[in-house]
Amino acid sequence: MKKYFSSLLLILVFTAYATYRRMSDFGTTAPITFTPPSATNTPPSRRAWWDDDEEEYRPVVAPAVVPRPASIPSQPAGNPTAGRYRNGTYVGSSADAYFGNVQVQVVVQNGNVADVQLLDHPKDSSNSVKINMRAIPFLVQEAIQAQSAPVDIVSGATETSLAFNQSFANALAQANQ
Amino acid sequence: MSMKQMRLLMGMPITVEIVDPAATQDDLERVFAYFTQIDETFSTYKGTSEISRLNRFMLRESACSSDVRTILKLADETNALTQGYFDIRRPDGTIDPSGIVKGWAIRNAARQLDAKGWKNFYVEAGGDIEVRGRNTQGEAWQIGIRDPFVQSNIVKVVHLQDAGIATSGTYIRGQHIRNPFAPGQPITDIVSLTVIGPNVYEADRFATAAFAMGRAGITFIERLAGCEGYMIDQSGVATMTSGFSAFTPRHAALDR
Repeated sequence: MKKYFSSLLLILVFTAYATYRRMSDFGTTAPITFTPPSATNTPPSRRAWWDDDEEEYRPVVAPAVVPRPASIPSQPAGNPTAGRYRNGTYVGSSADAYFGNVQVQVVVQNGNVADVQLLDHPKDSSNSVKINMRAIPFLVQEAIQAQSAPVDIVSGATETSLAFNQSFANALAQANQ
Repeated sequence: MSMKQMRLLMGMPITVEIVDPAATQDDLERVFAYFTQIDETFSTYKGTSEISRLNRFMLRESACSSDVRTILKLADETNALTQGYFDIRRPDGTIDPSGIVKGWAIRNAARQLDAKGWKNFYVEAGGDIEVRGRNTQGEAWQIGIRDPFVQSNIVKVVHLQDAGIATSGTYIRGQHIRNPFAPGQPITDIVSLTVIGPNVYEADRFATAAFAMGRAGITFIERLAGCEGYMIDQSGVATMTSGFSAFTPRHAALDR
């Protein structure tokens, strides 16, 4: 009887310890350990995990009257298809940005804005390249270097800046005259 | 000759280019009209938008349009996927969903062009892009990543065909993304984080969340299936995920 009692006690202690370990492991999960659900967890009929298929996408039909956006400081009203601006290349005023000035050049073709280039640019005096040798597993490091290859589009966070919009509005005002 | 046009909407330049020769001005107008409608619904600057009325308790969530309810649901889902680093709630209790609306709207605009049957185009808004097919030269779209220190330069070129790319950064407006776990602390050690994803909605939301994580953000992207990232720190050093180089020209040339 005593033998049974001690084995039962042993089992109870072990179970309690295992539960305690599980709980504390759960609590110490690192803050950034997101792993997407693997393909095997996904029922075969579903699409890839990132496809938000619960979300119903409805193509939007253009409203009959397009409301004039308030965010455009100098865009005139009128028939948009007719082309609103005189063809040519216009350089906007230089506007103050966070690290320096921003100035844009606008190209108007067939009365519409076809292209915008950044001319003036903010400069950061602390842009001295210093290689950080800290090893990050699987990740590759390099010092950034200006590229000369022509590109179709540029990805960056600058174009939402107020300075960009000011210089752009100024160039469009010139195209209106 | 392709159709290409740019307009200033939602406070940022929006560019659409369609290479397919049969595309018309009408296709471009439809895309710009869609962005105008999105701005009317989601702008935090317009007092009449649904988001502004929600924030002033003049509108209940259940009374919102399906677009707004979809975005609120997607924001919740993204918050959970990013361990809380993606958060549309501001410290004052109001919400600002612009961190998820932009990528979502660009992707929807691109789907609108897909539905019209166009195969070669891009839609770009404020530096976030969705591309399809090939450019006017019949090549993959060549996309530059802007130098965060010298705005007129690019520091990397990637080749994309049917994908999305988005960049988060602090470098012009100062700190526009904050770490929800340390709201008073500016994110200063990284200046730019670009994400390439299956579409621009995925790229945009994960770029925003990963940027808020600071240096750990690129590790988050590394673990994220279907996404690659390129992070630039204050000293001008870039750290890229292990699969990123598959999009750079040397690799892209081998595919041709």
